[in-house]
Amino acid sequence: MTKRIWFSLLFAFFSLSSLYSQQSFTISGTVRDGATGEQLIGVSVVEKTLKKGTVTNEYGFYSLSLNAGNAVLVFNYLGFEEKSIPLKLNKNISFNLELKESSEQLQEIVVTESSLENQVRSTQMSVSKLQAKEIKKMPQLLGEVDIIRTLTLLPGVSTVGEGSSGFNVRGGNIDQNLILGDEAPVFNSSHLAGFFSVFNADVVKEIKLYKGGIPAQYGGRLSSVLDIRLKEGNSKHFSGTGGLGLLSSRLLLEGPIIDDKLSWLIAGRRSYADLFIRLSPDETINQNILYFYDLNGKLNYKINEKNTLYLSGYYGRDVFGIQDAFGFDWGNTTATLRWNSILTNKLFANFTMVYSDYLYTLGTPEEQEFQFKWNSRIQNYVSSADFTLYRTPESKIKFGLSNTYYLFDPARITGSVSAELQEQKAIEPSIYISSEQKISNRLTLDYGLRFGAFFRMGPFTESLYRDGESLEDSSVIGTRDYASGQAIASFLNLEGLEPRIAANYLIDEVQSIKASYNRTRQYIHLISNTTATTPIDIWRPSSTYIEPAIADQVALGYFRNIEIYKQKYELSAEIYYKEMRNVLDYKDGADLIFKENIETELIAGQGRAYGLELLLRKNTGRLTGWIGYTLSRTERLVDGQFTGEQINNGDWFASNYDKTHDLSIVANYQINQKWDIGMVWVFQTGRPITYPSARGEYEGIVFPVYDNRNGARVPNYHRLDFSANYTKEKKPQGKWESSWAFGIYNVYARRNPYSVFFQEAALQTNITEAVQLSIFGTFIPSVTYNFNF
Amino acid sequence: MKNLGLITLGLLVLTASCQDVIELDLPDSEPLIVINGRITDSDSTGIVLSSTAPYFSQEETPRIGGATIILYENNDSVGILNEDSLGYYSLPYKGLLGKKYHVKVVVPDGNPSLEGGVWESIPEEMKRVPEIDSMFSKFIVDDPFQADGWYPFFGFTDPMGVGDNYRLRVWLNDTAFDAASQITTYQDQFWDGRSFNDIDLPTIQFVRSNRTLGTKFEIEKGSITLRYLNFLELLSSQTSQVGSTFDPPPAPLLGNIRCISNPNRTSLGYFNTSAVRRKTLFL
Repeated sequence: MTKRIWFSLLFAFFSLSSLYSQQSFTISGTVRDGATGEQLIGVSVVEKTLKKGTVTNEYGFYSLSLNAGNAVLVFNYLGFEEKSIPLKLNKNISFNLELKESSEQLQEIVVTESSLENQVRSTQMSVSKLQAKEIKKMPQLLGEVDIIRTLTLLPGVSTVGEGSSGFNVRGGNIDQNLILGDEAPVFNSSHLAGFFSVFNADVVKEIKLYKGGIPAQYGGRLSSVLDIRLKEGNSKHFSGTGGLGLLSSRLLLEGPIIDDKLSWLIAGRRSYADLFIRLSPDETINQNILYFYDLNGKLNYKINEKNTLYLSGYYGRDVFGIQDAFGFDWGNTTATLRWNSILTNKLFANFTMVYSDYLYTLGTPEEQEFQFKWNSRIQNYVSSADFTLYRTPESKIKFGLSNTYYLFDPARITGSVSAELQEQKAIEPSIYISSEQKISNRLTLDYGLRFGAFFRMGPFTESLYRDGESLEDSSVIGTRDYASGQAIASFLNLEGLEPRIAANYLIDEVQSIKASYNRTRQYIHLISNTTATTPIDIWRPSSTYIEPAIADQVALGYFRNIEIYKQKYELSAEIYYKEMRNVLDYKDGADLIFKENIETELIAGQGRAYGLELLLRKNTGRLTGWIGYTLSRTERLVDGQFTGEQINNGDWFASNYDKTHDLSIVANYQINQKWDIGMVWVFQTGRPITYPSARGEYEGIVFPVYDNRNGARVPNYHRLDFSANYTKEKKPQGKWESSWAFGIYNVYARRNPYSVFFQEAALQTNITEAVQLSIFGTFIPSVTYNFNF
Repeated sequence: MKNLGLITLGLLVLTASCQDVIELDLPDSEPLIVINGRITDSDSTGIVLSSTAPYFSQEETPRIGGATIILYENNDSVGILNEDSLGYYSLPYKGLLGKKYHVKVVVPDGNPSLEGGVWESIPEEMKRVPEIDSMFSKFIVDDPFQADGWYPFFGFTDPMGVGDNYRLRVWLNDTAFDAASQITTYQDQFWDGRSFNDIDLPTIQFVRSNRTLGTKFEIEKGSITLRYLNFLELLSSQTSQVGSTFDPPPAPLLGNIRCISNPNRTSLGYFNTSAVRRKTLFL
């Protein structure tokens, strides 16, 4: 009997000790597209039995630590064939994999429940993800694939109207979006006043828009982060893609210099809208110039299995001119150098250096009697280091630091007259740490802390104002000089702490609840008081008289994957509430152009936004698309201390871009191998507008009298677009593939109102009228020929 | 020059877009006073008193009669304006350089268009204005903005010292060129002390459309305060810079009139001070 007891005890002891002494090993590596060598972002890597896993990061890297023994890793990615790899885990393994694209577009592509790409499982909420393939299928305005315009079809994202650059996310202004192209900040996201985005869709690999629950690694803007990852360049064989359209054409070439080691990519676009302008019978129009072009270049060098170097550049310009008399051009230039290093099999590092330059020039040529050139520029230099530590399948830690150096050159005039506004310098350092932790089978937390600071630096001569009254040119009592390197204003305090918390609670395999809170701070501001921004609007840094803006957002969401008749759908419902303070507004009649003491025209106010976002999405099968609906409100309060600093009598008023209802229906149907068709229908509440309450007269001129701000609404907006794509059958031996894209924008030709304005009817004084302005008054067809080889 | 960029961009959008006149119902509101007038160093002081009316009333706004208007020079009363006709008041008093002028308006209760009250304008100093050095016609060819033809020009020299602001008013055959889009103001911020005489800086063309020979042009160059300049620019932008995606936001057109009897009462209009120089040219 005692022998038995001893044996049982010994057995138990050995079992226990083997439990404690069980070792864990790490499998890590990079996942790529087998056809092009491109790193794949967000591939789900899960151990089949344990159901523990991770996803590849922005550079295709994954790291998974599991207990010793046999493991089967399942690699799963939308649009690609799933791969199951059996491995024997008795040491650390470095395992790279190439996935093959799913050959038949019509085949059912399975996104397994355990896949971490699955919206139900990931901690990410308030995120919209789009792959370039999806965007290219949608009906486009004038045949141009436009990423920003496609984003506005998702809930929570809107614009103030057609012909306006920028976009609004959850009631935030257009300068509250951090737009990153391969980690380089982009200041103006559109060409030609909002008609085309600066991102060439052929070069884009993936887009992620964070509307809330913004991770700690991002900062500097209040409302959103648009993280755009570009392709690296085909490292296996030379290829190209391009298109010829009615308004613009594009060409992309990529290929390896050394197979699988050194690859390059060059892409360019150029519009020729000016050709159509020449057709106008109107002499004042037909001699004008109007076009844009942009160039993307990339060079990637895989030094060894653990280190890769990336060099990328962007150059874009918009050019507008009135014959030879007046010229205006503007655009972004960015250059980025990045170095990935897999420091250990659990620690991934990325080091980035960015140079970004946004400038505009307007002026008259030198031969003219009155000649001038007006330049304005904002340059920034960013350097950052980001680390990800894949501790265990349940715990991932991210940390890093970053610094941005800004040089603002608001205005410089040369020529018959010369004048300039002072240069402004600033530094924005930040540091962050965050942890994604699986607390239990059901609960995952992603919590982090970001700490940012901002220093406005000299040299600079700053105006001093009389105490106790509104800042005005007439209340300047003197100036103060700051030397180079001297801090004019420092924002280094506890308000720079930005907590970012998100939680995901899995109710069961198909549904989850998520909640998030984030605080964000913004130190640079776009100064613009017109409804749509103009390219000559400038950015200004926070300083003695301009405080950084702060936002707090909470969001709560319900996510569910549904299967009806074997078709899979994703359903999400989110509510959010956001409060903003120190958001800038403008005094009545503010004169913002060439203003040194810009603070005399600004008033700091508050904002708040809240809403409900619903999305039903289908990503697989012949019919794909989504229905998105947003019910929201965004409003402002401007009630300064002194007279002249109140808007709408100091009461809350609707923001210019407040749209109560925003419904988008997007659908694409693959009829057969050759044809697919698509449609988009949008409905939006008209935006707010101010109507006059009376008329007055001055020297015979009738002027409107306003007693409120944004108290009325423009009529509702709705529009239908169609598209059809014809893909030519690819010759079995040939490399050349082509397709035709047909589209009609605004099919039922609705004259959607952009605004309503009031004026004296031409040639008749005393008779006033209300006029509705529409940007597009008719349907607009387009044809584009696309090819790749 | 400041608005050139905006206007040209506006052109771009305007050519592609469309405008439709629509019917709108606007709610009525309580009438506000509008006090407009000026004192110069050459003419009688004049004031037009009116009230606001519903935006689509489509007729001249009501004139306010029976008011008492007192003119002050450096806070001393120098006269009471005489009511020439309903709403139009004047006093043959000329202003002097360097002195500050304002008016006090008393509207008695019982006026049919407006509730009674007492208003004052913020005093304005009469500032210096240079002579018009030259005024002549030039034949212009190959200008992208206008057809070939004779156009009128004028020149002047800005005195040294930043802070001189001017307004230019033009009469064509004795009719005022006074639409909102024709309001012309100058600030010497960029060209203080310089001369518009085709030697230093080019002379200024003050009418842009082609006119027949023999047209009578009269210009008046007046000195104005910065506050009045801002008021005129606001008036121009609120009434003529409309109809594009880059419209400035709506703003109340507050001038320099304050209601003393009730500080919360919104009051509109402007009483300004100008020293003026005039010249005539026959094309």
